Amino acid sequence: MSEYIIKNGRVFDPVQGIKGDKKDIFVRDDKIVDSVGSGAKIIDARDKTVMAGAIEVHAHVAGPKVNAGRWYRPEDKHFDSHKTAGITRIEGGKSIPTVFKTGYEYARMGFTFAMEAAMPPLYARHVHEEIHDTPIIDEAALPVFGNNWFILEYLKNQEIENTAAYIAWILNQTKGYGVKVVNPGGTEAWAWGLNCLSIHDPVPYFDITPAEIITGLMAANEYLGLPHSMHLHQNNLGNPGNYTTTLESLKLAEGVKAKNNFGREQVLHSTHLQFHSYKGTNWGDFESGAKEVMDYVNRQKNLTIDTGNVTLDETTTMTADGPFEHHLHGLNHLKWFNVDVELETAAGVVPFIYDPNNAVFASQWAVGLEIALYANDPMRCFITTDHPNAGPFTRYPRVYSWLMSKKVRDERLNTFKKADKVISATTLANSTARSRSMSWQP
Amino acid sequence: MTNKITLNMITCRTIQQGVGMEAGKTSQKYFDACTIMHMHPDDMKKLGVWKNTNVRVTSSVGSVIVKAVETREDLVPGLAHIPMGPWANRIVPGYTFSTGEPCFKGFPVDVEIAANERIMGAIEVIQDACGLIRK
Amino acid sequence: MPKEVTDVICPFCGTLCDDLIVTVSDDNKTILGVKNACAIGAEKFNHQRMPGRVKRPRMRQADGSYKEITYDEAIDWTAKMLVKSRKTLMYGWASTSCQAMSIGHDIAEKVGAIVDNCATVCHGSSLIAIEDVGVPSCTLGEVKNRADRVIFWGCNPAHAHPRHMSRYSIFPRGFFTVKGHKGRKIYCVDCRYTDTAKCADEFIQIQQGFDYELLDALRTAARGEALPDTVGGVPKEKIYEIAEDLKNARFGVIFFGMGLTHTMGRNHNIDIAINLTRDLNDYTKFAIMAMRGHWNVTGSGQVLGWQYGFPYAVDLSRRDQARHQTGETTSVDLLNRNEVEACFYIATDPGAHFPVNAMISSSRKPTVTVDPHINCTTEISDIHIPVALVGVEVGGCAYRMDNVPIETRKVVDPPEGVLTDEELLTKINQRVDELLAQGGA
Repeated sequence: MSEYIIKNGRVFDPVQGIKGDKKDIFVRDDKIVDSVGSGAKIIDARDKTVMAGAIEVHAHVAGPKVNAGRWYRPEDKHFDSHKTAGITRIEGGKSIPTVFKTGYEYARMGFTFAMEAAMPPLYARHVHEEIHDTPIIDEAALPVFGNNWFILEYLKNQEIENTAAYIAWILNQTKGYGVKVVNPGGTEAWAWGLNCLSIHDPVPYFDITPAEIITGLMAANEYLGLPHSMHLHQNNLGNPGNYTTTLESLKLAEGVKAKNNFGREQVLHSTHLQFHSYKGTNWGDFESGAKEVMDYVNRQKNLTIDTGNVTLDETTTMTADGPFEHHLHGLNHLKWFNVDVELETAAGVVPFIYDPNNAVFASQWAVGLEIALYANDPMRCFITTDHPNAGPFTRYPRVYSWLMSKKVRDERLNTFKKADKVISATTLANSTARSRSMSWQP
Repeated sequence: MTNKITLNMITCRTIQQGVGMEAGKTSQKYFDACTIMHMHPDDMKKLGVWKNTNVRVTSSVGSVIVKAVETREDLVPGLAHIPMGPWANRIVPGYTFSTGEPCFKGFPVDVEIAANERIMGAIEVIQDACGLIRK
Repeated sequence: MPKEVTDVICPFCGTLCDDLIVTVSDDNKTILGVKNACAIGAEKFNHQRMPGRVKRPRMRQADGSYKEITYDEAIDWTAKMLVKSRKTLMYGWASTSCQAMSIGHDIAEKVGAIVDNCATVCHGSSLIAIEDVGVPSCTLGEVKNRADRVIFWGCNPAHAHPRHMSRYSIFPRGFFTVKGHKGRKIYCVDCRYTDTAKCADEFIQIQQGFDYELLDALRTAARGEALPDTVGGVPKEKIYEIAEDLKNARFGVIFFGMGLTHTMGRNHNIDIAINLTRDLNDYTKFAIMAMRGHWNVTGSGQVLGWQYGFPYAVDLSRRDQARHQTGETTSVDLLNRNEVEACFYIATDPGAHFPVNAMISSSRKPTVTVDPHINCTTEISDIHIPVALVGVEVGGCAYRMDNVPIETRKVVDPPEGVLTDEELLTKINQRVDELLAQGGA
């Protein structure tokens, strides 16, 4: 039996409405209890926050593309690699930290869990090898399904039960935790150098559309009654005017009911929504579509989202959306990594510098904050940086302060070189809101 | 005066070398596969060497005795090939141009007939280089 | 009764064939036969049963002979060497499992060693190029299922990856490649008319050392710019013809090997090959892949990658930071400059495969070699520690040349009392901990 007391800390628990009260927490055998014996170990948490471990819902922290990013970017280690006193392994890297640094940095911010957002089934063992070597925090991974040949065949024939059986088999084989869908159909098209930019573009050879894939996978997910909803990275990521594709995709969830034993109400999780909420026709007349997208999300109770906040750093983009990374490489001409995986998926990696002096990047920063600020239901909106795509996860404290304080936010906004352009392209300057997602903070 | 020609040397894997290596570094298979130098027939004529005759091959870092053979995998005249192994490496220049990779392919060697010289064994050839053989 | 073990993973080259069938004696001790393997892979299994295998560690005596010692003595000697040396080269890892590597890196961090793998003399150039320009690649299954143009450049799979052509790159029929070989156009670019070239539809004989020039000419031709009459011995008409044909591919792939990484130009040869591939993606789909040779060398790069962020030549001697600088922290350069104080070799044979001067430097330092068999390195080491054969006598994870991880299989028991790499390294790690707790060796 092990017992300890966390003494004198400021305790936060949004569910019980505890907001920074000074309290002692008693723990016996890893469970919180009312009291412990006199021999319990005492941990002094004076001037510290005591809370349940934070959860990362969507980050790229383990697996083949993350590791490709690590070893093809030796320069990323130059920013921030060190070994501080009290830790056991050398830390390395900034936007794509090594597994040791990943575990340590999440733990330093009070996180105890991270979900790896895209696991190619063929590479599942690699993902798990990295998870095994990551210290302190727990990790799990979502296998990708949106471009899998078997899935495409089953869904073309409207065989939901077969789709579900196949998903169950893959989840078991790969030790996966849910159904991830990245650029449905588009990544398979990329194997021939093509893409599906709208949800009605047919997938080459397979004679099915992204809309049918999304609908079918939602149905299969509910057929299985999985603890998580389908987790969707929509088509047409990162392009001006893509908010219409986003709204069309989200509308596919209308009328779909959650069936599960976990109390889950959502049937679709839309990830890094910032990248999918752009108006305009090109980067010149680019505008925020956050309001339109979030108005819809607020009305539809069976959706959850995460933000994908741009942090204005030099970072490394990586996604199973292979055609998007090729497109990005064409924009910034930095080194391009790509791997196509038979039967399943692809992945691309491109370094990226979100220069705050650039009006588009500064506007992306604003769009991400708007998404969170427009969210009415904090329980359906998660803060992410889609690590490392919009920025490294180690920037969460900055994102939180931008969301919590209009002063900090406006300071950043008004010091952009092209502040005027950002202010006219977004609605952030008018917002006096403090993020409801964070409203339980003092 | 001994006849001497200069050739461009490359060292590569061969399947016989691979099989020999897995049979054991001290095996006859490994010895047979790696103690040969593939040459073009024109170069053999120029040197005046019959096939399957021992030759001394000398580079900027050392020399080694191997057996001159005609190749199945055709070479152009002027190009020679010793399969990778401790014999080839007695003459491979270690300079890496700051890449970590030595000059395994494309370095000049002098070749002369050494019909009566003995070819060393795999262990012997490396121990000899390192001065570990007590005479 | 002998039994058959199916789906055995071959422990020889980077192709990691996963369809071997091994017949094993009833007592699980002897391999009786191997099916489906290439000549080299079969030999690897056959070697397991050869007489005269070393089963206990050996230490070199003053007179040059070797004396048997116990594992405990060997472990103690090794741990003391590692703790005492301010900079140890821990080189090899390509024939062992990722789990063993992980333990090795833990030791290296504690004692401030340099960890390097066989890429340093093989595809190190490729890794430098990838660090510079990235790489568009794919899995081998994509090649099998989609590729209709295949280029072998400076590589000879007929000799080095004997089943690569039949499993993935020339002959197999795939989902979108139902005609097999007939549906693919195979190019081979080499300075020799190799056995691979004999399988190709078109052999381009290049002047040795002119790879960069010809690759650059292909990029130029693909863009429709002017060329000189010949480049690297290839007439310009041919170059334009090839460039046009590649642009018309549905899915193309370039496989390259030591012909690019070892010749003059090194990483620049790979750099330009990657850039050609990148250019071709403006017209169609193209990928490029390094023909990784030594079995799990890819895995070593992966483990070093996720632990330290670099694929090879990782210098941990500063203890608070991992460093990687080719030419500086690469094995051959370290040995050439006499920069290390001790050598620890595992799962490879630098004695046979490093240039002679590097090994002369190595032979003058305290050296421990961990390998199942006697080889050129064990015989210039102070201590040789025999271990079980990974992929034959013990399982573990290994990575294929396209970075796909595969769990390998144990098919027979190791000889009585012989430790596995993981067991040995764990014991050395424990002994290092004890010595460090006592304040050093």
